[in-house]
Amino acid sequence: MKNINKRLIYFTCILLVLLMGSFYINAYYYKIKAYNIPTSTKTLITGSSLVANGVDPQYIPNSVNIALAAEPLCLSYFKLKDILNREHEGLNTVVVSYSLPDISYDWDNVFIQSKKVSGEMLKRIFSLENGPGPLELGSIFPLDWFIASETYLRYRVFPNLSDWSVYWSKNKHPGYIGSYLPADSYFRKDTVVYEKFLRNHFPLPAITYQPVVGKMNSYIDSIQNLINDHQLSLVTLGFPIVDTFNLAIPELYKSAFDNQLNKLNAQNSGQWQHFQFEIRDRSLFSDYLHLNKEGAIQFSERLSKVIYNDFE
Amino acid sequence: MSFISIEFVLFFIPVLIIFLVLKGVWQKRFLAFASVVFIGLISIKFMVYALLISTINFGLAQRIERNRKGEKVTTVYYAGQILNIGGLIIYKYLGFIFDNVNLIFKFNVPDDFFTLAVPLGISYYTFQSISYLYLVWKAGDKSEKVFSEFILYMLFFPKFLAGPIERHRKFLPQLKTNNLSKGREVKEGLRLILWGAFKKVMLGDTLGIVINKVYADVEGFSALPLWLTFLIQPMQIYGDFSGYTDMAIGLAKLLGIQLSPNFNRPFFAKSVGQYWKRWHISLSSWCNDFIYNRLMLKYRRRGNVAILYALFVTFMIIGIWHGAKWTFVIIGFLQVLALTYEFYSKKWRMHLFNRIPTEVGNIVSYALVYLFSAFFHIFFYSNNLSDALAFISGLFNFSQISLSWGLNIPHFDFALALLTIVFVLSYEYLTEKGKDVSAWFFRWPVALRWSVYYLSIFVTFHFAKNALFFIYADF
Repeated sequence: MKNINKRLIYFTCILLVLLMGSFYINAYYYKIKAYNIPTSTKTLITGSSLVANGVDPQYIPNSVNIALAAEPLCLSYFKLKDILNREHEGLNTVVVSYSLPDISYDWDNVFIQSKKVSGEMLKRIFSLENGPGPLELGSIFPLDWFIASETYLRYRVFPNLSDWSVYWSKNKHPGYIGSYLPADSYFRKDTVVYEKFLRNHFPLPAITYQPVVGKMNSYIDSIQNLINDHQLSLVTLGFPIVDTFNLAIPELYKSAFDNQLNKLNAQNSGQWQHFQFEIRDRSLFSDYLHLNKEGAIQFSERLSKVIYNDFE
Repeated sequence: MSFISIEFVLFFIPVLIIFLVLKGVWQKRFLAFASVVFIGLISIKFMVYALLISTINFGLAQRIERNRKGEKVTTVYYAGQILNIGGLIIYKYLGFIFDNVNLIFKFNVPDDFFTLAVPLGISYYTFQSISYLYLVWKAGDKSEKVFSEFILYMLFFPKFLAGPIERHRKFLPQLKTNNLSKGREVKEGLRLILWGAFKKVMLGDTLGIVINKVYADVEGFSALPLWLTFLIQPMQIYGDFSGYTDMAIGLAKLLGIQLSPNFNRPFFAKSVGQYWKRWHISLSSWCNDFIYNRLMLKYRRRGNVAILYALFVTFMIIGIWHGAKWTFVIIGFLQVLALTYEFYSKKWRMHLFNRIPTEVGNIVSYALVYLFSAFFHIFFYSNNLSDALAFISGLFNFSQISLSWGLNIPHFDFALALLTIVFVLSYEYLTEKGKDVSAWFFRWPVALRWSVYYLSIFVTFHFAKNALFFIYADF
C-alpha cells in the first residue's frame, strides 16, 4: 500500500507539472490565434445567427462578418472588448444586432442551460485571449459552477488537443470567431424551432415569473461605452422577421423592446437601424427568423447604403 | 450524475478518503450511507423510492426465513414480488399501456397522462430484489440481517445507475470480511476507470453525436450517412455501456468490492446465442436463470416447443426491460427469430463451416453477428417504428446520394473515434486469440507506460466535451 501511495503521489506531481505546462501553451495558443481585424476593414459586424445568416460582407465594402449562431450580447461585448484591445487602425464602424429576441431573459440562462449549450458559450468566452474567468463571469450571470470549472479546465488548463492539432498551423481562429453562413433558399417551416423559440424567449407572464427584459440586455450599453471609448460608430440592427412570427410575439415584449430603443436612442440619437418590416417576402427567409442567401444580399445592400451614407 | 464529471469527482474523492480512514463495519455503513446520498443528489424522490423498496425487501426476506414452513410464507413472498414488479410496471410501463389503450378505445385522456418520471436505476435494483426474494423463498437462501449491507447490495453507487445486476450470493459474502480490502486492487481499479472513461468518451459520446443527429431526423439523411451510422452504432452503444461498466467495476475495486463483469468481447461471438452470453451478461444470465431455465423446467416434456416458448418469453422480457416502446418489443422478437434460426440450422451451418478454413469461417461469423447487432440497434435508437422503417428503407435509397453528410461532428473528433474503434477491436481480437496484451503492456518501461496514462487522461478529459449521459441509465 505504501508503494502504491508513493507512486500515486509521483504520478499526481508529474500530472500537475504537465498541466502547468499545458496551461502556458494554451495561453500562448490563444495569444497567437487571437483575431486581428484585417487592415483594410472599415466595418466589423457581429451578433447572433440573425447576422451570421443575414449579412453578406461581400455587399458591404471593406467589411467582415464575425457573427456566430446563438451569440448573446454579453459574448458580443467580451469578444469586441478583446478584439478592439488589439490593433484596429482604419476601423470606423461596428455593427451589432439588436432585435426583439436579444432582450429576452432567456439569454441570461445560457450559462446554466444544458451542458451542451452552456459548455459551448463558456468555451467561446474562455478562448478569448483576455476574456473573463469563471469567477468574474459568475459575479455577473447565474453560472453552473461545475460546467464552468470543467470547461475552464478543458480549454485553459488541460491540453486543448483538437484545437492544437487542427488549427495550430492553419490561419484559423478559436471558436468565438464566426463568419457569414448563407442559409438554404427554401423556407423551412420548422414548427418545433418556431414554437420552442416563442416559448423560451417570449413566454406569457401568466405562466412564468421571468422578467420581460433580461440582464443580458444591459450589455448593449456596455457595447456602446466600449465603442465610444475607441471612438468608433456603432450601428445596432433590428432584423427582419417573418410577419406570422412577429404577430405571435406577445405585445408585452414589443412595448418593452420599444422602451429599450427609446432609452438607447435618447443616449445616442438615430443609431438603431430598423429593418424589422423592410423585408417581408417569405421567399427571402430560410425560416421564421433567418434570411436566406437572397434575403442576405438584399439586406446587406440596404445596410451598406445606411453605413456609407449615414456613418461615413 | 455522470462518472465523468466534476460533480462526481468531488463526490467520490471524499468518499474514498473517508472509506480508507474507517475500519470494519463502519466502512460498510459509510458506503451504504454514501450510496443513499449519491441517489439523493440525483433526486430525493428516487432516493425515497429506492430506500422504500430496499427496506421492504429486507424485511420480507427475513419474515420468509423465519416462517419457512408457515402457511403465510407464500402470501408474503407474492406480496413482495407484486410490490417489486408492480413498482416497475407503474413507473416504467403504465404510460405505455394506457397510451395504447387510449389509441385503441379512443378515450379522451391527454397524452402522457399516466407517464411518470422513471426512477433512475429502477430496472437494475428491482431485478436484484426479485431474484433475492425468490431465492430466499424457493431455494432457502439465508436472508441478509445487516441493513447497511443489504442497502449496499441494492444501491451501491458505482452500480446504481446502470448495473451490473448483481446476485446476492456473490455480492453479500464479500461484505462479511472484517475489513474491505484497501489498496490491493487500487492499480487495477484505476486502470479500469481510465480504460472505461476512454471508451465511454471516444466511442459512446463522440460517436453518439452522429447517432443522435441521425436519429433525430432519420428522413433528412441519405443512404451513405445512414450506412455509416448503421455500421458504427453497435460500437457506440458498446463504448457507452462497457465503458460505464468498466468504470463502475474500477470504482468498486477502489472501495474493495468486486462487481460482476458485464461484457466479454461481444463482437467476437460466432452466433447470436454466443453474443447474448457476452453482451450485458448480468441481464442475460439473470433472465437465463430466472425465466428461461424456470420455463424449461416447467415445460420440459414438450421438447422443442418448450425451448421456443422459453426463448420467446425470455427475449420479449429482455426487449421490454429496455423500455416501454414497440421498438424494444421488436428487438426481443428479432432475437427470438435469430435464435430459432440458429437452433434449427445448427447442423447445416456446421456442415457448411467445416468446408471452409476455420479462420475464414470465424470472420464470416463475427461479421454476420455484428451486422445483426447493427440491424436490431436500429430499433434500439429509433424513437418509434416509423423512424426505424424510414432508416431501413433509407439504407437502400441510393437515388438520394448526397455529398453533404450533415453529421455535425468535427472531422478530427470523428477520425479519432474511428481510430479508437480499430484500436479497441484489435485489442479485443488479440485477447480473444489468447494473447495477453495487458501483460505485454506492463512489461514496458515505467516512463512509457505513464506517458500512455497521461495521454489517455488528456484525451479523455478533452473529449468529455462530447459527454452524453449513460444510455443504459435510462433503463
